[in-house]
Amino acid sequence: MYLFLMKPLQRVLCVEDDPDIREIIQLALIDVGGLAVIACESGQHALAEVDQFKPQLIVLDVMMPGMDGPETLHALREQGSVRESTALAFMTAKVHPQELDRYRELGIVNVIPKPFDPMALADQLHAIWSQFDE
Amino acid sequence: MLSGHNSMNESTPTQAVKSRLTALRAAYQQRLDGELVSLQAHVEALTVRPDSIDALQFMHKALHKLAGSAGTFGFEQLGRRAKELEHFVAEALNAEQSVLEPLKLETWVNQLKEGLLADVQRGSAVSIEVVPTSLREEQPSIWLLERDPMLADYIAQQLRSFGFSVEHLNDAQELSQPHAHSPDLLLVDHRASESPELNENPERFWRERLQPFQCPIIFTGAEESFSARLHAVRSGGRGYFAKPLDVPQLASHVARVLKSQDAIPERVLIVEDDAEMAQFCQLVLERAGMQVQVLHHPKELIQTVSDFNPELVLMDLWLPEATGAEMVALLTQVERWAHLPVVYLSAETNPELRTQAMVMGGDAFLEKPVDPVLLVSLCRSRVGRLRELEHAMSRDGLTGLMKHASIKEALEAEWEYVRRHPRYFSVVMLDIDHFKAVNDSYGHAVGDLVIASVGTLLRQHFRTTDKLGRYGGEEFALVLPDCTANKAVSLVDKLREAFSAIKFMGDGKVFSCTLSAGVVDNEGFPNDSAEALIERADQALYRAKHSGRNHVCQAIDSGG
Repeated sequence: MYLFLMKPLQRVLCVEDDPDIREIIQLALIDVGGLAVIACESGQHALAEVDQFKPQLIVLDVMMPGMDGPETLHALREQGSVRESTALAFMTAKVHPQELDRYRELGIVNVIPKPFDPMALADQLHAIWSQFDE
Repeated sequence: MLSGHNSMNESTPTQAVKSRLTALRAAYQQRLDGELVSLQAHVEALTVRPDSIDALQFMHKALHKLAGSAGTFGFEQLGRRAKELEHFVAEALNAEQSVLEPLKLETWVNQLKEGLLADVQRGSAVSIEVVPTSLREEQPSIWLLERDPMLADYIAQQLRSFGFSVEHLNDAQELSQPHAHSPDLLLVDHRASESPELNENPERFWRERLQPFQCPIIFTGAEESFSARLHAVRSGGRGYFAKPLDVPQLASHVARVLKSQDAIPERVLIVEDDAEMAQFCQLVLERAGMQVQVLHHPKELIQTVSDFNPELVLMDLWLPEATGAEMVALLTQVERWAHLPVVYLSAETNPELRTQAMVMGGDAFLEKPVDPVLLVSLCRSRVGRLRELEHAMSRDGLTGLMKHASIKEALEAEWEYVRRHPRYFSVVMLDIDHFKAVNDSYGHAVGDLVIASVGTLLRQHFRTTDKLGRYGGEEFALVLPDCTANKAVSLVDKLREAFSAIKFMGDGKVFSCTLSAGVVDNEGFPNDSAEALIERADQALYRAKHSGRNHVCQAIDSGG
């Protein structure tokens, strides 16, 4: 029904301060998942890259030094870089119901629990995208 | 709908991806060494100044990072332990005062190192390169001593379907040759040797050949007779199976024999205000392989008992705020713990006081100073009896799995546990396909054997910590802690394949069966109740049935 509206997920922007995790994200999404990915090491970096890259999905690590995930999200919104067509997800080791409620208040329903399985990460993002698109 | 990205499709990593993963993992492991050193430094700082907020915050951040990243690189044990410790630090930070002291800070880094070691030994490099075939650490190894090569092939293949690893030996003389591993069980055809000694005195022959093996031994042979069974016993055997072998029955027997050997550690709670005494008992019991928790303040008894779920309480008769006997009386008021064995520790020699304590509940007295040998054997035998009792009450007779009510209770318990100590778990509903047709064509006895085989197979394929239950006639329910739906799907799929490879005999015909399953985890549906998770797994099972059976489906969010 909505097939004509559905663009497949191609461009993903990730913000993650841990260099090892950034590298494995790139491996998981670029090499395994075949996606175009920009992995930023900080919120500032993401703010600088986002408008040119125009990601369909932004994945934010929650706990980061300096600007954390929620703060980065806020700044991205302020900057007008989060469109109606932009899907958002948090990545975190904290997935208690209270935390999830807090994320929901920030408008984030998609949470990718850490640790993630590098072989399944791309599938997880595709699933988030397909639900977002519906 | 979106196609091509079904999470059930396992992507097979290319060689290039594999080698990069391995390299990343190695780099991460190097980094771990440094992080453990800096953690150790902060632990030491905290031991000197337990109120150092800086050190606490550093530990919190570092443990949080480990908890979130280690699993991704295949260091799952380490990640899990980091998560537990992170939880303690977070509580300490919230409490704004040190509550870390009773948690033995100085052991933390060692705990992490142990986790790391376990991960390295388990070769978890493999687990990020390919989907693990089983959650079990290793498959039990059976040596099959059988002269007929075709029969040996058949038995080996069938036993492998049940999750055993099988090594075939042709002749008894191969037993004395050097082997890389020792077997967990020997399956011996009692004619399997060319040696003339076998004819002269078979019993002595086997006793001598099998003497170096500590593991259980089962004999097989052509004749079904009392004397054949007696021979087997006299030759040092644990059992005898007549040919043609009924492999599902044999597998079930083998599984039972092996399971009785690797028991889960006993959980003992020590309630004792004398720290030295408590530590002594803890040490003795832990050395004997038990899991021990110590409680110094009786006030926390109920909370600790419901968290730790001990199988025995070792209770000081004289506690600061209430007597041990009073504490026991309190426990027996709660139905769930009414049968919890209690052993008193006391120097009390006054027979009246002792009698009084026993009347209020409690099973035995151990006098101080405590004899370590007696302590271990008393605890072990009490827990053993409790387990037998619980087993008899809660186990399904045909499969040895939990009964309907018990598996539902186990799910509730896991769900409650996860609310306090977040972790993933999966729920699986599983059903034998076209089971009614089996009963109709071959009779109920054969049908029962098929059901029992699923029981055997489940116990072989899953860990002792997994909860496995027979939910109804041919329906099974599983609760798998520390296991995401993706992992569960691949495990159950392996089980599905193994089951379809098993050959059953009925009415003179050979046939095989298939099964379908639905899988869900709490990660995908964090707001679901335990009941709702079962419902979702059931719906996924329903989809599996409707997509042609012999399938494993993962629950999808239909509510949006």
